[in-house]
Amino acid sequence: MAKKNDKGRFDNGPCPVCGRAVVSLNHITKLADGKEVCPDCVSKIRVMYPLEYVKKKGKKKLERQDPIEKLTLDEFRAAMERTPEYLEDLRAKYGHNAVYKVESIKMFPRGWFRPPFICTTGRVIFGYFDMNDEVEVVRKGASFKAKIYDIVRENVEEKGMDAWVRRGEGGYPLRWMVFSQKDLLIGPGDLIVKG
Amino acid sequence: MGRTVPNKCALCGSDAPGRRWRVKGSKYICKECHDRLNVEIGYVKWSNMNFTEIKNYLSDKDRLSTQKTCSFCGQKLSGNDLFRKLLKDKSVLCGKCAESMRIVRPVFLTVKSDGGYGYETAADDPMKELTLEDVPWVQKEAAEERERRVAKYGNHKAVFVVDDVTKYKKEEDTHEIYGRVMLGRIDKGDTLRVKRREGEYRKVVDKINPPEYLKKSPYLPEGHEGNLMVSGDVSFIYPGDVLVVERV
Repeated sequence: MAKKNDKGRFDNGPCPVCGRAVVSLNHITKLADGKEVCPDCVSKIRVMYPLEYVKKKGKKKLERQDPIEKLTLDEFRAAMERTPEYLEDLRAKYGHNAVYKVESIKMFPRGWFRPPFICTTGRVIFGYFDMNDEVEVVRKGASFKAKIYDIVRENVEEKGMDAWVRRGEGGYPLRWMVFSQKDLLIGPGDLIVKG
Repeated sequence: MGRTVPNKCALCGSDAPGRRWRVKGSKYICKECHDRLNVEIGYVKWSNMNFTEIKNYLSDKDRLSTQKTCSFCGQKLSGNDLFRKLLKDKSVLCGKCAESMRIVRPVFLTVKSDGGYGYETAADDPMKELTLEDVPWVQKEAAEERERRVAKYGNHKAVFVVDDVTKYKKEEDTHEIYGRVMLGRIDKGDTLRVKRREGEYRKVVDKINPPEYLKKSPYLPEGHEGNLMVSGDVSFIYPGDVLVVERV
C-alpha cells in the first residue's frame, strides 16, 4: 500500500528530469545516485536500455533487471538527448515504424472450425503495438498480413495503475502477443512489423 | 440522550426553520446553503470536504466573482475568463497575466484518495502560493524561459512534446497523443508536424482533450498537459518527439 505524503497525495515529489509528480502508486525507477524518475521519462529512453526479466534457478518468480537503474541523473539526461538519433538509426535499419521480435511460440487449439491461438513471446524493439492492430509477419524474406488478437505484458508492475493496458512498447518484453488466424506461419526469430 | 441539532446555519447564520444537513467537522447547514453547495461544488465533492475547506472554497469563489479588475494590470475582468487566478494574498489576476507565468509554474498533477477505496487525479497549482509582489519577477523568469525555448525549438505557433501515444478506442482508428505544450497554444484543426530522417509527417488535430481542471477550455494552452486526438495511423510518432504547429 502506497503511503500518502504530508500533503495527503500519493507522490514522492517532482521528477528531477521533467518536473512531473513521481506517483508512488506506480513502479518507481530509482537511479544509481538515489534520484527517482517518473515512468514517462523512463519510457522515453527505454528503447536504448531494454528491460529484461531473468529466471533464476530455484526461484519461481522472474527477476527484473533494469539497466536504467545503473545510470546516474547526468547519464540519464545525456541518454534522453541521444535517444532520437538512436531511434532514427533503428527505423533506418528495419524500415518500419514498429518492430517486435518473436523469441518463442505456443499454440492453443480452440476446437472445430475455430482458428487456434498462436501465442508468441518476445520483445518490442521499438515503436508500439496495440490490440487489433494490422501488422505484417516478416519470415525469411516473405511477409504475411496478420491482426493482433491480444497483448499481455510481462512488466505488469512497471506502470502500476496502467498495468491493465494491453499494449507493447519499445524496449519492453511481452509475455504474449496473441494471433488467432488460419494458416498463419510464425516461428522464433520472425519479425512482426507495423507501418 | 438524543443529538441536539443547532437551529443556526453554520455557513450563512440563518435560523429559519427547516431541515439541517451535517457537514464534516460537526457543523450543520440550512437547506438553502445545502442547495447552493450542490450546485456550486457538487454533492460528492462537498460531502468529502470539512467545514473549513468548504468555507474557504466559497469565500475564494466569491472573491473571484466580485473582483472587477485584474490586481496586476488593471484590465477589466471578463465573467467567462477560465484562467483568472486567485493568489495567496487574495488578489485576482486576469487570465492573460496568470497564463503568461504558466510556463515556469506548471500545474502539478498527482494522485489523491477519492474518499473511499479509489484514487483520483489532483491538480496542485503552484501559482496559488504566489503573492502580487512575486508576479513581476515570475513573469520575467517566464519571459527568459520562453526565449530559451524559442532558441531550442524555433519560432512556431506551438510546440508540443509527446509523452505517450495510445489507442483511443480499440476498434476505432483514433489515437490520443498525450504530452505538454512547451510553447504557444494548440487549437482544434491545427496541423502537427514531426520531422523524421526520411522526411516530414503531418497530422491534423481532430479534438482537444484537456485535463479535468481545464475541462471547458476549447484549446490547450502553454505549459499545460493534455491529449490531442488524431485519426489514422500515428505509428511514426514516439514518446519524446517534438511536434510543431506552424504559423499560418
